[in-house]
Amino acid sequence: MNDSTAAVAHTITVTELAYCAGCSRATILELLDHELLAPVESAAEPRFAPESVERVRRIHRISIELEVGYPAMGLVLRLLDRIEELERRLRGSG
Amino acid sequence: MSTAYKDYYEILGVDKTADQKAIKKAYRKLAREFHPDVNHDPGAEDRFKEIAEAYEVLGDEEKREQYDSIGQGYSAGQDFRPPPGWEHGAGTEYEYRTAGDFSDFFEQMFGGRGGPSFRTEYRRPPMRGADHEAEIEVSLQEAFDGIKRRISLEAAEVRPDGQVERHTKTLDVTVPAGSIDGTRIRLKGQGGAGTDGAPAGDLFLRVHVRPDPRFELDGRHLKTYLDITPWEAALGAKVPQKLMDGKTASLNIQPGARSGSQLRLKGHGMPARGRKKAGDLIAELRIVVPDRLSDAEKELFEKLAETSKFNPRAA
Repeated sequence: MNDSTAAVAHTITVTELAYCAGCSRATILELLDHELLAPVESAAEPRFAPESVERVRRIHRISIELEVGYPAMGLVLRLLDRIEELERRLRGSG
Repeated sequence: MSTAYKDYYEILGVDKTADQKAIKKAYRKLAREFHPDVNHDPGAEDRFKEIAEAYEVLGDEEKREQYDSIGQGYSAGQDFRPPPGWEHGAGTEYEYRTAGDFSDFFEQMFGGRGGPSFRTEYRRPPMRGADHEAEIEVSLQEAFDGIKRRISLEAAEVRPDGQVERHTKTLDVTVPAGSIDGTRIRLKGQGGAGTDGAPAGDLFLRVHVRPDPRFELDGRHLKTYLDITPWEAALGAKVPQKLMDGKTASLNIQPGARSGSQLRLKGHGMPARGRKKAGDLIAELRIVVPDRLSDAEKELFEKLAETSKFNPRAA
């Protein structure tokens, strides 16, 4: 018997993403519409990386708890990611 | 049961007489500062939970009223016991704005979150797991014969709580004889996990057949070149042809065979599989001339050139 490794790119559907993040399909489609989520493949039905679950939850938290609307969300996420990256670099060089 | 009394006014840093506008303002200011998505300090998350809980109560006229009436006389940290007969709001359904977990104190006063929340509002019926796809590479010979393989897959499962769990699983897979490029092997139940007891999805392995120096795969047909000498082409001959199953067939070259013409061995391509019939082995003739001629050969070719009236370019 031969051994071989195959890496599987596990992706999830809109329905699964909605289920895991605890929101409706409509919310996911709205996030897609605002380009706050990027599907991995965009065939007949978009599919997402599992990491998208945390992203959706994060967007939800920020939108509800910090009262940030979807139009500004992209900017907020980008700035937060940027800050995180800079902090990481700062720690790396310190 | 008793819990420590929480002074929500103190947590939000507002006066007991603050109006809704002031409470909202205080919440916004603190949320921007301590929200765990913004503030990664270790204590920020707990602090934000407190703030969200305080706002949940004080930001809602009804809850605030209850909190004020029951909590009279208590100070922060003090042992809190609800008055006898208190059954958290006696059937009142609350709406919750935030998605966080609330403290025992909150639950004692207002009950668990009975109303719709982000987490529970869209609960779906159990859902079958997703089908997954992976590729498995085999040689042409392995595809022809069939082979058992042990493969390791790196799988990532999304748990219902949204955590992504990665693990490696090992599977014994049979690539059936007669698989071709693109054949899909279905492994039932080896795909993504279902939710709430629903069945798992399937794993589909797509077969990729590595190119082979001897044969080219064309659907289920195997194509190859059969090299013959000029005299075999002219006079006809019986030529051996190796087959995939290790046997050798004898191919009949008719006198006057042309380069590029094809000989077909029916049923000697990839074996039949399911409803698919076995393919053929197709050998394309290629007339090959020696790189270097011996003196004797050269003499004979020269003699042939002198004698022959054959002109392939004649109109």
